[in-house]
Amino acid sequence: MSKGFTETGITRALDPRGGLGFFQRFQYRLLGYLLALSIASSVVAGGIYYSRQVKFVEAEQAKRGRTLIRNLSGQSELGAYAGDATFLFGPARRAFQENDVSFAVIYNRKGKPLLRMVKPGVSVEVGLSKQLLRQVLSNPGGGPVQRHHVEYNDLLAPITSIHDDAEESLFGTQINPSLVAIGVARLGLSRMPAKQKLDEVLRWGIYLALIVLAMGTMAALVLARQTSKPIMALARGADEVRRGNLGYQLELTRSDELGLLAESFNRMSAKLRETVESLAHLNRNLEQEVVKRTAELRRSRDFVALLNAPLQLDKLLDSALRALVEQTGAPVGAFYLKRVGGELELVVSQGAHAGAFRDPDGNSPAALAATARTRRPGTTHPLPDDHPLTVECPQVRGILCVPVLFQDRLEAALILGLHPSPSPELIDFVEHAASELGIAVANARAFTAAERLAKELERRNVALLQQRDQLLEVSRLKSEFLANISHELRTPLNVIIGYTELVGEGVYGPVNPDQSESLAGIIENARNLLALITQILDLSRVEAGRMKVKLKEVDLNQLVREVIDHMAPLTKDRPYNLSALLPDEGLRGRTDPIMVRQILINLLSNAIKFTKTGSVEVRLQIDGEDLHLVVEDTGIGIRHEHLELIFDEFRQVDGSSTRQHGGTGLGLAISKKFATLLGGDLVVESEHGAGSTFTLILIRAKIASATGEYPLPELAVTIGESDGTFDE
Amino acid sequence: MAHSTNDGREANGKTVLLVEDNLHNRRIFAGILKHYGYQVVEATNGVEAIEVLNSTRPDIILMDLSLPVKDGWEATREIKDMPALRDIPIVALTAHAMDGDEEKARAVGCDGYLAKPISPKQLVIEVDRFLKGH
Repeated sequence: MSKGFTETGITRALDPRGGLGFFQRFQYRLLGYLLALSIASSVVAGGIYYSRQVKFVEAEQAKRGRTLIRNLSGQSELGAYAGDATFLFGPARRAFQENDVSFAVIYNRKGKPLLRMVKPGVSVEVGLSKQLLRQVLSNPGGGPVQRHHVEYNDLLAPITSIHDDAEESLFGTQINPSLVAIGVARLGLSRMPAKQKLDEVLRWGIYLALIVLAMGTMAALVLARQTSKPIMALARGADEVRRGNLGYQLELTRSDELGLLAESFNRMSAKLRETVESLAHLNRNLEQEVVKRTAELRRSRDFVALLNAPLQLDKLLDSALRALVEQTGAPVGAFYLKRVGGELELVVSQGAHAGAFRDPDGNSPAALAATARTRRPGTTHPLPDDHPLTVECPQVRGILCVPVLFQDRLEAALILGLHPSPSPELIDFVEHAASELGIAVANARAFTAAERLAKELERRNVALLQQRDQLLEVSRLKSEFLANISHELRTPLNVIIGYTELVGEGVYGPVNPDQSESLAGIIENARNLLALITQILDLSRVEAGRMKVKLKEVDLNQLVREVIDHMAPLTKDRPYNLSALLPDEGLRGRTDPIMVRQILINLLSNAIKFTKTGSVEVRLQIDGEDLHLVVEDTGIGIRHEHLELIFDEFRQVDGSSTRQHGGTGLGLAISKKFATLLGGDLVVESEHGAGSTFTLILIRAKIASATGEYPLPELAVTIGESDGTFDE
Repeated sequence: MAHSTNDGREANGKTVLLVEDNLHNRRIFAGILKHYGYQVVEATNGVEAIEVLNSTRPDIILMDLSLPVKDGWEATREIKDMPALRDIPIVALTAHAMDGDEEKARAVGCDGYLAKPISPKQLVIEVDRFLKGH
């Protein structure tokens, strides 16, 4: 059922002639109902008629029977009384002569038949039972006793006689003092006439029923047709509409609901037709519009495509003017470009030489000036007969001036020489073209400007590149200079130290103690100078990002031992030796040995410098993931307020300390920077007067770098393994 | 250019070929070595060094690597290519303690490596140690 409205379903439903089952059709259903109603009513009417007639006939017959039997019994009094059939014959005969009397029998009071007359073919039991006789005789004044027989009504009535004296009856019963039963009259009243009559009644009843039925049927037919006809008409109408016969009108004039429905249908159909027609009209208009617009678009597109190609202003205007003249059919045209000063200058012209685009007074057209001023789109101006354009080109009777704008700014202006009355479409097209041209002109100007800028930029880039190259060269030279200065400063210093040592060793002859002390002074200061130069160069290299971390697998125990051996001479005038506390197991790591060595040397030389007595100890220890290289002394210590400052460059805790202890004040600054480069840190704990503890923290796999551009330092520590394998 | 002196301590019978272009360094190193009993033959560049080796067989060669005319790298390579001279130990001296220099020096055939600055006494100690060890 859900698929009821398929195409075939609709078609079937709409087709008034076919498809529906017989009993599905409203007409026949209605007819069926009406027929059933008329059958029922005719049956009821016939039945009622028949039953009334049956009662009537029965009553008639009973009445006739009573009359006949009363007559017979009354007329038979004498014969019964005499017991003589002769007297009975007449009355019996009269009764017997009636068509419907089947027999007549007269009995004496004892029940003996005195006379009988039986019509042929009638069988009758003549003898009376005693009971019946008594029943009949017992009521001499009453009505007849009636008995029903298949063929007739058996009527029995007493024959009475009036007696003055009461007489005992046969049965000793005193019946009636005035009436005495002296015999019995019996009459068979044939049922046939009543039956015939009833048959007739039945026949008439059936006729009646049939008449009622026929009338009902006809009425039903008429009614059904009357009812379904407009519905069928509606269906046909709907079908017509479906087939496209819009506006189909039903010819149905009725005042009832169906009439209203038909009117509604007609209105709907008419409206539908009207709507469809207006849609079709609209569609036709649209199609025409589309055709028109397509043509316009094509023209615009061609024009825009033309504008997009050239980016040089004069080429652009030239090709644009050619296209406009061609498209509009204008005999002449000219483009004016706005110059920097603001005046319009004729750039290109078509159809006439440039001079013709001047007013008769020789000035540029006044109309153009007005257009430039007002920027009003597309104004037409008639030309006087003596205008140079008209003179040169007689069919030009007027000019169309169009401003070429970009963002409301005048970029250029266009003049087209025209026939007297240009069409609005043509003016529209030219205006549209002018607006596109405005963008193109602005683009071309921007392009020119951009080109100029690009050239300028390129020039500057070249200059910048040259400058950069110069700077790079300077930088390279500086680096080279720094590298060289390191060599050139150290070489003479080493020579000075070398000769001094040579002299001090007595190579050139014996030296006395004063000379020896002076030579030692030269050597010490030369070494200090050498150290200072080295540190300054190291610092500048760190700060220039040129100090490279070079990771190596390092035996840290050995490194510490070597540095202690190297530094040992410094403690020769101290009452202590450098001591080292190293792990028993080989402690190796991946780090930059030169930096670690430099840091340790710096820390130890400081410690020795500031520790006159007591001790200086180096410890190498593991702290979780970190490795700590500790230099602990019992020297003068550092004041709390100075702890923050000791890692600054060129800083010793105070000026007097520099004088007293020597040194550059660069060692800790460099050491701190090296520690950072190594991905670790250098920290200090100290108490004034109670010594200092410097700790170089080397962190395994720590992601930290002072400059961020060097390989990440990492430190792999293995304990108890000396086979050179590392766990990273 | 080659000459020898022995005006200091007792001669120990060992000869050192000192190849060094810097006059002062040459005088300092030669001075201290002679003072400690070594016989010193001097050369100022690789070419001279090889010339000296034509006539003299030193016990050890101290070779500055950066030299004019023919540098120490080249001279060392050539010396080590000569079967007769191959077993004379060569100790490289270099002013630039450049990373990888020691490896490079060993690669061209140097048997030892001393980074400048080297104090005169330190040089003597190193040479003593080297000759004893070899």
